[in-house]
Formats: sequence, C-alpha cells, structure tokens
Amino acid sequence: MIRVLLATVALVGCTQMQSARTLRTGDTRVSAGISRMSISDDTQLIPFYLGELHVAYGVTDTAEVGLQLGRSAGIGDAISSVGVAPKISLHETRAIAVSLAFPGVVAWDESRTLSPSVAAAAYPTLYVGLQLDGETEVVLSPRVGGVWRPGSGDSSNVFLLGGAVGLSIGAPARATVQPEIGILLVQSSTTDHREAVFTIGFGVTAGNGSAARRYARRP
Amino acid sequence: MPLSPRGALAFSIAVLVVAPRPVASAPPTDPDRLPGEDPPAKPPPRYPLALVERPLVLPSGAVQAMPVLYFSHRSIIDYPSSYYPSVRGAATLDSGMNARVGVAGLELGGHVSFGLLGSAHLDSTNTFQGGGGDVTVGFARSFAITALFHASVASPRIDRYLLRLVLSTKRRLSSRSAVVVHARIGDNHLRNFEMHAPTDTVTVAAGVTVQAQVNAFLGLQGRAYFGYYRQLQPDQQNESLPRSATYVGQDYGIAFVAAVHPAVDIIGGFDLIATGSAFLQYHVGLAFRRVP
Repeated sequence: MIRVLLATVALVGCTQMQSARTLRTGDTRVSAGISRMSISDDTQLIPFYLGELHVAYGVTDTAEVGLQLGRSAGIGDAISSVGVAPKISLHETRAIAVSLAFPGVVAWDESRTLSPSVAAAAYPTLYVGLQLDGETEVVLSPRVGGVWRPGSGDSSNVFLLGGAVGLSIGAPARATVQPEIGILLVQSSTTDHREAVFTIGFGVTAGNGSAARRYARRP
Repeated sequence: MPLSPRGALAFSIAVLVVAPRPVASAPPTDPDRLPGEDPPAKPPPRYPLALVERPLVLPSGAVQAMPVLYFSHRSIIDYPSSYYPSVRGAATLDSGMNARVGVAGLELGGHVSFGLLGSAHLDSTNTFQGGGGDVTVGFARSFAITALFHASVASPRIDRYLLRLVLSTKRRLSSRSAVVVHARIGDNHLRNFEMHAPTDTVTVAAGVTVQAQVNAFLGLQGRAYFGYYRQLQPDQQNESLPRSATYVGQDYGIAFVAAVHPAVDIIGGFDLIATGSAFLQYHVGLAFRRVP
C-alpha cells in the first residue's frame, strides 16, 4: 500500500500555488514549489518530497488552462507526473472568489519497480479565496477524486478526499508566495485500508496580470 | 491577411497623412544652468537591489564574492517488505565559495567547495570536494550564454567532470515579477570509479526560475529543472549508476535574496535534488559585491 500512496501523492501533488481568482484573458502565471509530506506507517512517519512546476494561461476572463509537472524525491524510487488543470470562475467579488478546477494527471514510476508503472488521477478541486487585504488572500481548496492504475485490477485503485488551506501573499497575479498545509485521505477501492497524508508546501508565483484589472467589476 | 498593392498604397498614404510630422524644436532648457554651461554628467546606472531587476551578467568592473554553507539530508529508504519500509538518514555539511567578476562585457566565475561534516553513510568529511569555473557573455539585452566546467573529487574513488553550455534569457512579467528560462547541453564524464571503464553521460535540459519581488529589498525565487540524460557506455554491473542507459532528472528549489545593503545580500533556501540519488539540500550564505 505504501507505494500506491507514493504514486497517489505524486499524482495529486500538494501545493496549489494559485489564487482562487482565475487569470484574465491573455495573462500568464508561472509557479514553482516544493512540498513535504508525511505518510504515516504503523511504526514511523515516512518523509516524502515533491517538486512542482505550474504554468497557467487565461483563455477568457473567467477561465484558464494550466499545465503542471511534478516529481517525487527523498524516498525510494522517483515518480514523475504531468497533467492539465482547467479552472473556471464561479463567483468573484472584491472580498471573495470561488472557482472550480478539474485537474487530470498521469504519473509514472521511472524505475518501473511498481506494477503497473503508470497511473492516472482526476480530482476536481474547489477554490474559495477570502481577501484579507489588497495583498493577502486565504485560499481554501477541498478536493475529491480517484486514482486509476490500468492493468492492476481493482485492488490498488484508490479514492481521494482532502483539502488544503494556504495564503497567497504579494501583488495579486504578479508576484506572490504561497505557504500551504493540507491533508489527503486515501481509501482503497476494495478494502478498508485507509491512510492519511499530511502536507506542507511553499510556492513562488510570478505573472503578468494587472491588479487594476483583477479588481475591476465584471459585467 | 496580406494587403493588395492598392491596399498597401492606400495604407501608406493614410500613414503619411495621419502620422504627425516631426517638428524640429529646441531642447528643453534647465533654468538653473548658466548660459554656456555644459549639462551635468549623467550618473552611472546603479546595480539594482531588486532581484527581478538584476541582469543576467555582472557589469564590467563589478566583483562579487559569495561564501555559502550547504546542509544536505538524504532519507534512505529500505524496503525489506512492501509494507514496512525502514528510514535512515544521512547528512553532510559543506561550504562553498563562489567569486565572480565582470570584465569587458564578460562575467568570469570560479567556485570551490569543501566538505565540513558528514555522517557515517557518506564519505565526504573535511575534504576538498571540487571546483570549477565559468564564463558568461550577454547579448541582445536579455540573453546570455554560459560555458561551465566543474571537477568533482569528493571521493578518492571517483573523479567526475562536468561540462555545460547554457543559454539563458530573462523576461520581466511585471514590475514585481520576472522569469528566467534556460536550456543547456553538456556531458558528465566519470573517469575513475573502482576499476570500471570511464563513462560519459550526455544531457539536454531546460529550466525555469520564477522571481517574485516581495518588497524593495526582499526577492523570492522558485526554480524547476528538467534534464534528459543518456549514458553512452552503460555499465550494467555498476549498481550505483542508473539502471538504464537513459533517464530523466528533475530538480526544484526555493530561495530568497535579501539585499540588506547595496553591497551585501543575504541568501538562503532549499533545493530538492531529484537527479540521480534524491536528497534535500539547504543553503545559507552572503554575497558581497562591489560595482563601479
């Protein structure tokens, strides 16, 4: 189960590194971050690290598309992941923003010690952003999803339930840092086996968005 | 859609008609300047404190020295069974010195590193780890090419040499953000490894560094690096080398640069090194700089 967990966290990642507000048309956001996770075993906490790169582009004023890359390190064999993450805005005012993302990710075990060595995951994520002031936003991001490992049978497919709370500090859509903590519950699809993964992450984001445009009232 | 010849002519006329004609005018006068007095000399450009404004290449005449401490921690996981892995750690403390100088449009750099402390799992304690040098030339305002050489002699049993050619470009995204994109090619030459034949590993890689300026003096950056490695002489009997002849490496890092003085930076951060054996590395250091 522990290696299934590793594949799962590599798929889902940790640090969201984004505001709940979607990018405006033509704006770009680039983020890089590192997450540390603790996977609880019966006898010890196993450290697990994940590096991530996210790039997003605003296709309309209420929708963006994103590309994300990640890779594990610090424990056993390396697992890499690549995925897309479209996000749409549901509600946005100066004080609060709500958006919904539909990340889909494929991960693979480079050493091929896992069997099968490829897995896929989808985990719709809701973003709720509470603007504390002009340069600080609290971002809540609950998510639910599943991991499918083709050819493995039902035994190693898992369901996911989790969430994170983070801060987005800095000039919105231009230069922000994002500390974040979260929890991910992983449930086997066929047994009662359940694990909890605790995460802490930190990301840096740069973009070419305009704060004036960000807070402009939408039609 | 390309313009027809007639359309092009009409466009040219429209431009001639609409575009304002240049008007010769006297330069604005300084009321404080006496008649015949030369205009004051333009002050030389200052080296920017903000991380996002810093150029890829040091200006000519500038000198920078950067002592750094590195703390590395490796979590070594054994899998005696699939359910009960065991975790043991290995740690090292290294020091490095990086010196750079701008000369005639070039930036010349050199670096050395020493191992200070190491756990029993690693054999790099109180030893000369290696060193190297690099030369960077900037062009087209925001591009630079770097040629880098590094020799690693961390272990008496291993000699390793690295050659890299790096193309970099820096783009400002906004007044408080910038992104640096680089591509690199190179070779890792392993000359001496316990009686095994020398091997070369060629690499093609690309990376992105994201820079965010938190305030006037504090900048943060996150980086991601992806490399494709191909071992030209795979040695399947050597267990410490990758199991296959090709593999993909990725590194990630978070760092801060605090310009506490026009001539002094405090730097720090941590890196997730996931190329080869994975480990986490923390670093803290100072950068002393003199810019003419």
